[in-house]
Amino acid sequence: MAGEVLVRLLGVRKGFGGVVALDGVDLEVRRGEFFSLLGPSGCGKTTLLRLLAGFDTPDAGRIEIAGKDMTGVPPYARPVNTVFQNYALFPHMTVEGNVAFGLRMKGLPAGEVRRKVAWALELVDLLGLERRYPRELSGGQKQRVALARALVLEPEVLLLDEPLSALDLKLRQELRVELMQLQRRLGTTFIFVTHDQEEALVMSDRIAVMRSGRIEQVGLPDEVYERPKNRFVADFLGRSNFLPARPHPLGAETPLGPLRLREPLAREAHLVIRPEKIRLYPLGNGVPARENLVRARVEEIVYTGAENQYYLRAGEVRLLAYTLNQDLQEPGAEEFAYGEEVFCYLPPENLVVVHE
Amino acid sequence: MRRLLTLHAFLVYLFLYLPILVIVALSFNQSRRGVRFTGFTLDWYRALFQDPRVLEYFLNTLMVAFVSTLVATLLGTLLAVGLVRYRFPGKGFLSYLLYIPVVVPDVVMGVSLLLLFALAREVLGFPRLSLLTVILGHITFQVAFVTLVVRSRLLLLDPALEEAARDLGARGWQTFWHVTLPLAWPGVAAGALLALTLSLDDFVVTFFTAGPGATTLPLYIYSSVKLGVSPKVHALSTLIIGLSAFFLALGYALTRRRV
Amino acid sequence: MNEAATPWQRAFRVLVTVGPGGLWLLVFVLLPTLLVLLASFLTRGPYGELTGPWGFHNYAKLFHPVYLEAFAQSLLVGVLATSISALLGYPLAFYIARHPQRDLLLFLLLLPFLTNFLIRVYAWLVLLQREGLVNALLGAFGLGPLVLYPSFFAVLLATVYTFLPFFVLPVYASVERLDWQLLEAAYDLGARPVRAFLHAVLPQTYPGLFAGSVLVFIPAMGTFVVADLLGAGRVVLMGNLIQQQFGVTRDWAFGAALSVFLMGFVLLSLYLYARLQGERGLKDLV
Repeated sequence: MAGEVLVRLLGVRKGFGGVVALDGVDLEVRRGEFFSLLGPSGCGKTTLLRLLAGFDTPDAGRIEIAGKDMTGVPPYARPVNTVFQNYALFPHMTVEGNVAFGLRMKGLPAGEVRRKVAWALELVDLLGLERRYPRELSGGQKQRVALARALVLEPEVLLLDEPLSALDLKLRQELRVELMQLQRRLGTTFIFVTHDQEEALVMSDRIAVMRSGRIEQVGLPDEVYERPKNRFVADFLGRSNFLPARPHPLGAETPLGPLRLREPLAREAHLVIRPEKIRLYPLGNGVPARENLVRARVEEIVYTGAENQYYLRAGEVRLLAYTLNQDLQEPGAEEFAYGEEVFCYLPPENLVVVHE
Repeated sequence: MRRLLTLHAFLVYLFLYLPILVIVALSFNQSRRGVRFTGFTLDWYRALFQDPRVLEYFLNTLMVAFVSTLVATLLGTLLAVGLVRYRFPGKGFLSYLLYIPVVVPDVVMGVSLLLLFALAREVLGFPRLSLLTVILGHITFQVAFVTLVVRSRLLLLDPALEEAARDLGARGWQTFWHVTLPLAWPGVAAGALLALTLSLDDFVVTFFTAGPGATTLPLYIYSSVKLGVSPKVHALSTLIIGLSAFFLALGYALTRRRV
Repeated sequence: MNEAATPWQRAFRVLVTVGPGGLWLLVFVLLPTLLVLLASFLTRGPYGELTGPWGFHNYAKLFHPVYLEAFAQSLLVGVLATSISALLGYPLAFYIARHPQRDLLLFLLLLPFLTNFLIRVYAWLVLLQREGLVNALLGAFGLGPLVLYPSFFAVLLATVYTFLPFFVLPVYASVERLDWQLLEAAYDLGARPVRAFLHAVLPQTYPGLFAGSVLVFIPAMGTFVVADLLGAGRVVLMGNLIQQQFGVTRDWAFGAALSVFLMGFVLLSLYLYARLQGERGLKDLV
């Protein structure tokens, strides 16, 4: 991902009352990126966003945007615009009034304002609704107006604070794709806050996973998903199976027995394996290897349309495995029943070592 | 039980309206004293309109009310914005200070202002008690009420709206003018209306801060009554009652319609 | 404000908004109050104005029976007015709250209240005086004329009349928010109507009751106009005393002491109220 660093946070710390919201955060966001801040509520992602926008000031540390120190710089002077979680549309102005607001504050002539507003509304597919008031709009429409209002000012960075969380599923999925396309089309740097890991994985160029005011891991979506740095990240993105492990000549000693790893374990840790990486085989034929094979019984099956989720038990250990719901004619496609005993194969390359 | 309650309510309302109705009735009464209705007349109204002083007092009252309401609304609205949006040393103290004009009996307020003006005369050489000092006194208690009303309205406002304005490039006064004020307007209007009513009605504070030549209608009514009730005062009162009732009914109808 | 800004910008914003109003309050509220406090320790000069020496003599004077009586009478008016307002106003609040046209009824309740205060007071003078309506009515039944004016009774009556809506409004607000299901629960559990009311409904209206009482008690204690017009010198309350010191009697120092005393009493009542109720009562004023 080539691109200069546009936004930089250095040692940023922020507390409210006695509570620490951000505990020494360092971060870099590059120009043109779709960057997500992902984490559970209370992890500090919204606080971080507000500091970037200028609505709050850090207790310690520095924020640089486009190379300039933003200390003491008010929101209206920053090359940054925000899309608020509840849209914050001005109820006493029309759609046109809302979108044109920033342009009017700058003092642009009426003709130019009109042109730009039309451009922005076209971007979000809302031409024709200029005269409506926010109370007459649906959630999705309000969302787009908020977007248009911010984008019309052509900011260097667009901050989005959980913009899709108030919408229903279908709308959310549609808007996700639209947002991605919009970002690519405009090339604006997006910093997107969400607690929905699927959203982050789908939309982002890079993700920063946060917890309790600290950044746990930053990386490309597949990095963060496939190679989580710690238990929290592994658990927060998708589902995982965790196995406590100790060093063993083969690789690791676990409650499931010895397992081969790509590299033997140096010290005590946890092993993480994603449910979709575990391959299930019926007892008897076609097992791919002798090692990393665990015998388990199917306790529960959850059907989610696109996949089957198998809740398995091997001795004391519970495992979760996913299989795609393929046509049963396909070679290798299997379906298992309640209580059936199966073989679970845990490929060494998919066992990730995680400390803490 | 219900019927008892209804009867009680009816009697209370009767109690509330009786004095007013009597005044209105007496204003048309031919005889000067007593309650016997001796005949219908508009003499007292004529006498009222022919009295140049009454017009003067009426205009005084209006002027005081409008000027003081204007100033108090301005001061109070700004103060409310400051109290809600910002933190500063002495904020708590100022909030408590705000409640004093609201809570303290009128007499004490009037007395304190009298002392203030006396001191000012000693030290600065002015002001003498006049309509100006009445206006100053009115503004003082009005500011407190306006601030409280506007403040409660502002607290209902979503702070994200002002943040959005700042984010989009609005500077301080732009945010205030384009976003805060339009949205807080009902509160400001209510505060101004309250202030206006308080000023028109005020007697005690005016009593202490008015000088010769600075008579308002309430003061005039008071001194007339002390001299002896005359039907001219009844006529004046009826007019005031009528006007108040008219404006109140108007306000009431307007608020009904908006819903 | 937490927004990013330079300290100069912050200071400017605070000054522009809080400055004018705050300054006004300091000059016209704080300063006068301090002056009153100050004056209460001074002495009456030859023309009634304030001079040295300093001392507590004015406060000592307060304990003179005459003045104590005025205080006692004010207290009596306050308590009685509050009680009568409660008796009249409490059922009324219920009636209005349960009525389909409650907006109209509220409007009608407030209408007399919002016409000029003085008019309403002197109207009672007209009604109660020797040739007034009340006596005329009594005369129609052959009953002798009563001296209702001037009297303590007249003052009390007019005080109740003036401040009654102040009591009804907060109670009305409480009643509107009542959870009637508690009453049904009480019935269900076997309570008779009276007890059910006392245990299920009344306690819920305490906040309104307290607020209403305070809103009547404090002004009632401090009023002077009502006593002046309807007491005609025979009923002297704290308010009248104070007014006299600045008028006829011309003893500003003593008047200041009286004011301080009255203010202190009012603040004490409010403090007790706040301790009992929290600070929400004051918002019910508007």
